[in-house]
Formats: sequence, C-alpha cells, structure tokens
Amino acid sequence: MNLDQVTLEIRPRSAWEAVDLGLLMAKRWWLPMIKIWLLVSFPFFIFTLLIPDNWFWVGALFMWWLKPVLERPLLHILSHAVFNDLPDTRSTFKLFPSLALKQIFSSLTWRRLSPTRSMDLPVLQLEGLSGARRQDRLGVLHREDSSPASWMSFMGLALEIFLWIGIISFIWALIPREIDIEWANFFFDQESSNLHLLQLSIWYLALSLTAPFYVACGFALYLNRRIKLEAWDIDIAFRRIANKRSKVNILPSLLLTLALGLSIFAFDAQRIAYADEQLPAVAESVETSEEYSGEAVIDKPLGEFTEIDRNQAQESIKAVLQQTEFSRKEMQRTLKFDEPEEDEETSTFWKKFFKFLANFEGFVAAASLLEILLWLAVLALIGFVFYRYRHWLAAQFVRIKPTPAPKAKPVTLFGMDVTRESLPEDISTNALKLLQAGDMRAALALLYRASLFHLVHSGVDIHDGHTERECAELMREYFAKNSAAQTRVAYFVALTREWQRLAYGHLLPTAEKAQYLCVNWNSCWLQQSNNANTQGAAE
Amino acid sequence: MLLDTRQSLETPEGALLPLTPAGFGVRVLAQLLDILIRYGIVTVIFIALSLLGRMGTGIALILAFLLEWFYPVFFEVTRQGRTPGKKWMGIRVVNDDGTPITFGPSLLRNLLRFVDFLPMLYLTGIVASLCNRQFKRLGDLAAGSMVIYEAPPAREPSFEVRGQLPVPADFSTDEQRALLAFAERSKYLSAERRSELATILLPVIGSKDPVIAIKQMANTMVGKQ
Repeated sequence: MNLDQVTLEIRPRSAWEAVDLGLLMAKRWWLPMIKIWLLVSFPFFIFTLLIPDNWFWVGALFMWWLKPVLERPLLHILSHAVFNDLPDTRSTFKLFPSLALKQIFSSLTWRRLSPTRSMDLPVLQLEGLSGARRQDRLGVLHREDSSPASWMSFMGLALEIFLWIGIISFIWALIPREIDIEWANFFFDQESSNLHLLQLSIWYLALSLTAPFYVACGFALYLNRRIKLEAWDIDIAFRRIANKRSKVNILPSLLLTLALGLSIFAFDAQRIAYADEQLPAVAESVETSEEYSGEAVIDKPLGEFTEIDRNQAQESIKAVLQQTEFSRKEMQRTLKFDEPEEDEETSTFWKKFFKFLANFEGFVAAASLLEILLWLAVLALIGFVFYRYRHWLAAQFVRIKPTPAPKAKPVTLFGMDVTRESLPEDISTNALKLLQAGDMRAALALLYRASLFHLVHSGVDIHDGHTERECAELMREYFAKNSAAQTRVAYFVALTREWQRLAYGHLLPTAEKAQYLCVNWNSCWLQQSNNANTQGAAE
Repeated sequence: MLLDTRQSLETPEGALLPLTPAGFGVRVLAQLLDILIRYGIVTVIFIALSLLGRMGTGIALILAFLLEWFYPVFFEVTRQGRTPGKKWMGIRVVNDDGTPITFGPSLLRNLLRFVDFLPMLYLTGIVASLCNRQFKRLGDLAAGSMVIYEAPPAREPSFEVRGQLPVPADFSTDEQRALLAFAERSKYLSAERRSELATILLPVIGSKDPVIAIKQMANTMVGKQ
C-alpha cells in the first residue's frame, strides 16, 4: 500500500458520501470490472441455460447465489486500481481460482445472506483474516458507518429485480399491438412460458449491471472506515510536511556547503541554531505535561493501562451520583379538576354524533354546493389568468390599436378664460355694447376669447403652449379642405392681427375695423358652424 | 486527476464553494421517509373525512392530490431545500450554482419526478444520476438543481491537552490544517497509530512528545489555553 500513488482524494467522509465515492469508482473502472465479470461468470451462465425449462428459476437463483465468489476479482481490480496499479484482465483471470477458493464454503452458506457482505469482503480478501481475528476486525469496522452497507445490499437486490422486470416490460412495450398474441403470458405465466432463455439472459444482464457498483460501494465504505481509523489523510499531509522540510533544510545547504568546502561546520551550525530556537518551547511543553500528568486529559501510553473492575467502578459511580451535588428533590403542588368518569356516555355520544353526521342529508346538499363552489373557483382562476396576462394575450393574438387618451380641452389660453360659462350668449351684441362704451380692448378680447372657444370645441388641437400666430396657422390647416369655412378663417386671421397689435403693441384698431369685427362675429362663426363645420363639437 | 465526490464551484470573487452532490442511495432513503410521512397523513385524512360521507371522500381526494404533488415543493421552497426526509438524511436541494432553490425549479423537478419514476421505482432516475458527475436525475437536469450533503455543524475543538506551543512560522495553511486535523481526530485513533503519525513530524518539530506538542500547537491556533 503506497499512499503516494493513491488515485482518490483521501479525506474522511460521511458514510453515504463514501457510497457515492463507490459509485464514482465503479464508473471510472467500469470497463475492466465488467470485462473480468463477464469472463468469470459466463461459464456459470451457460451452465444455468442447461437446466431444464421447468426448473429455470433454480438457474436464476444459482446465478444469484454465486455472486459473492464472482465479485472477488472485481474487488481485486478495484483495490489495485485505487493505488494506481490497474491489473490487466489476463492476470486477474489467472488469479481467480485462488481468490475464489478463500473461505468459499462459509461465504456461500451462512455468510451468503449477510447484509454487510460488500463491506466485509475486503477483510477476507485483502487482509486475509479468518476466524476470531476476522470477527474482531469486523467489529471494529462496523462500529460506525456500516448501515449504508446493509441498505446497499437491499437496494442492490431491489435494483436487480426491477431491472429485470423493467427490461422485460420495455421489450414488451416495443412489440406492436397488431401482433395479437398474449405476450404477457410468455413472460409472466409460469406454466406456458416459452422464453426462459430470454428471461435468464435478462436476469444475467441485470446482475452484470449492478455487480460493479455493489462491489465498489462496499469497498468504498471499507476504505472510508480505514481512512478514518488510521487517518490516512493526516499521514499523507505529515509525510509531505516532513519531506518538504528535509529537502529544504538538508539538500540546498548540503550542496552549498560542499561547494564552499565547509560542509560539516555549516550543517552543524544550522542544526544547532534550529535546536536553540525550539529550546524554550520544549521546556514549556515538559512543564505543562508535568503539571497535568495526574489528570486524565493526557492519554497515557498503552503500557501503563491498568484494568479496573467493572462492577466496582459502576458501584462507585452510583455512590457518587447519589450525593446531593448530583441530585435534587422538588415538590410541586398544582390545582386539578375532579373529573367525573364519563367514558361510557361520551363514547356512545360520539358514536351517535358520527352516525348522525354520516347519515346527514344536508351533507349531500353541501357536497353539491361545494362542487359548485369548486367549479366557480376554477372559472375564477381561469378568468384571473386571462386578466393577469391580458396584455400578453393581446400582444400575441389581437392587434388592438391603442385608443389615444382623450385630450382635455384647455380652459385657459394666453391667460384668458375660454369656457362657455365665461362667455355671454350673444357675442356680437355684447362686443358692440363694450365698443360703444369705449372699451375697445374688452370688446376685442371678448371676440378673441369666443373665437378660441369655438376653435377648441370644433376640434382644433390648441393648447396652452401655442402662440396666437400658431393658433391661426393650426386653424388654417384644420379647415384647409373646407371651402365653406374660409370666411371664418379669414375673419380669425384678421382678428388675430388686430388683437396682437392691441394686446402687445397698444395700437388701437380703427373704429371701422373694430365695428366690422364686432358685427360680423355672429355671422362668421355661428352660421357657418351650423352649415359648414361638420365636426362642430362646439354646439 | 484524483477521484473525489466533492465539486468546487468558483465564485466570481475567486472563492471556492465546496459542494458535495448526493448519490441515489441516500436520496432513496430520504424519499422512503417522505413517502411514509405522506401516506401516514393521507391515511389520517381519509379516516377522519370518511365520517362525512361522500363529500368527505371528495375533500380527502383533493387533499391527497395536493399532498402528493406539492408536499416536496412546499418544503423545498420554505425549508431551504429540505423535506423532512432529506433533513433526516442530512441532504438538501440547491440550484446548480449553490443558491437556495426557488419555486420554479422546485416545481419543475418535482413534476418531472414522474419521468424519473418510470418504468418503475425510479429506475430512469437512478440510471440518469449515474450518467453525470453531480448525480442529477432528469428532473434535476431540467430544473438546473442538484442535491447536496449539508456540511456538518462545526463543533468546538477539544484537544485534551493544556498549554500552548508556537506553530513553526514556515507552515503553510494546509500544513497547519493537517496539524489541527490530527489534534481533533487523535481521540478516534489508537494510541500506537497516534504516536506513529506524530513521529513522522519529529524531525520538523523536534519535541520529546510530538503528540502533545502538536496538540499544543493546535491550542495556539484555535486560541485555547
């Protein structure tokens, strides 16, 4: 056994993790293992085929019963492969008789049904132990982590049987329905079965598929137990540390000193210096070990171990535990109801109650109600799903034009009120009144506001950011195809020009011009919005 | 390359996350326990609700359906990937990248349980899990999840020795870790093996009793007196 050559990551694992390592090992060395398995087991398989048909299950059992012996070369391969020494098939095959004959009788009789068979095999085969020493060794190995071995035996058997049934049913599933034969009878009926050859072959196949994994898992459990018991990983790490130091300390200094011709002196000096460094530490350790040598914290060497009488020790432990430091007596008083014995009555009551419940007609109605509720819940769920994903559905299936949000009509433009409430009924008359009163500014403002109001409500898209000039432009565009509205457009352009001059330039329009605008407002806007303006929303 | 069950994920920061995928053996046991729990609950539900006649049976059937399909999903999502059976066996489900499993992958892997079950008793799942290094069944492959062992909780070290000794300055992290491992596990080793191992280091630490010296160095590392 050479730990430097090991091909596994050595590390203490949990038991099931060790099983998984076994699976990985079986995968890695699958080919050599299955080769030797087929080579070794094929003669026995041929032998089972010679057994008469009506005894074919004896053949199947025979194959299965021989497994502990047939698995031994697989373990041989694995145990060498782990230490990077994969034996070839030929040499393993030559070794098979000697491997197989070791304790073959006990392995095939009372140990055949041992659930920890896979984990125990290495003790027999690799350590070569037998009798009481084997039992002792197994006792140590089984102290921990052996339950997966039993589980794997159980699962392995289940896997073999299920593989067998699984492969048969797979073949059965491939037979076309048109061939109208009772195929099930061929496979599963004991009397009329004609396919024993096929069944045995499939059984052999199932055994072959599981065997490498079973052996590898057991071996991995054994290996893991030994790694834990003997701390292989620490062994490897410590050897690495020691090797590194010895190389660092001795080799370079040796070369150097040889070159200088001062080998002995320098080497000694170095060792002495090293020892000096360690001196105080050593003294300290001696001190501490003396100080606590009387206590149990430090393990004694094996030679000083003294036997203690078990019974005596137990009694003294008991006596110690009886002392007041280790025990305490408490008295607690609690209130409790005096419960009358009513068992008989209650049980008959509950019987009656449940009988009543079971025969209650109302439950039939409740059941149908519940059914309705459940269906409603299903409908609600469907509805919810549609609602939740309506956008996605719309995007997938229906091309709906997004309806533009209706724009709010502005209520103020250029700081002026353009609502219907702020305007009088008859614009022309009111404007003329204001004009005659001498307030030309108010008159024109009224005309302009009323015009804007009509424009906004006939659909021209005017908002607060537009200038007066842009309003006129928008209107011209909006009514460009409407010849009947051209007088209105002309009126608005004229009004806009006069209003701009007045509002910003403080230039009053001529009296005739103002008069003209006032008088013509009604005829321009009202009459034509009735006749010509087809989209007139203002009315 | 050494064969190992542990798979390390490297994070973008360059840290190594050691994950240990769990094979089918331990998972079969966990699943067995979950099945027992589930069918226990279903039996109780059926007995209790059969008192209510046909409606009771109907409700019990609905509950059994929900339990069958959502029992693992519920526990995996709310209990960090551990169903009761998995918790008992010390394993859990995580995403491929080691993050806790979320609802989507959990649902997918548990719905696909049916495929892994075929043709009987998880034969497909077992074969699939043997075909990749993370022991993933088909559901795991589809959902991008895996089942890993939980790291055992760290215990407070006790080396059964008093006193401290300085660790040689040229010991690397791994080498210090080996010293610690020796001190922690020496109580599980036989006395002969213990001194045999410690003697390997005798030329390096140069002490009269290397076992105690290594333990005292371990005391220094973990800060014990």
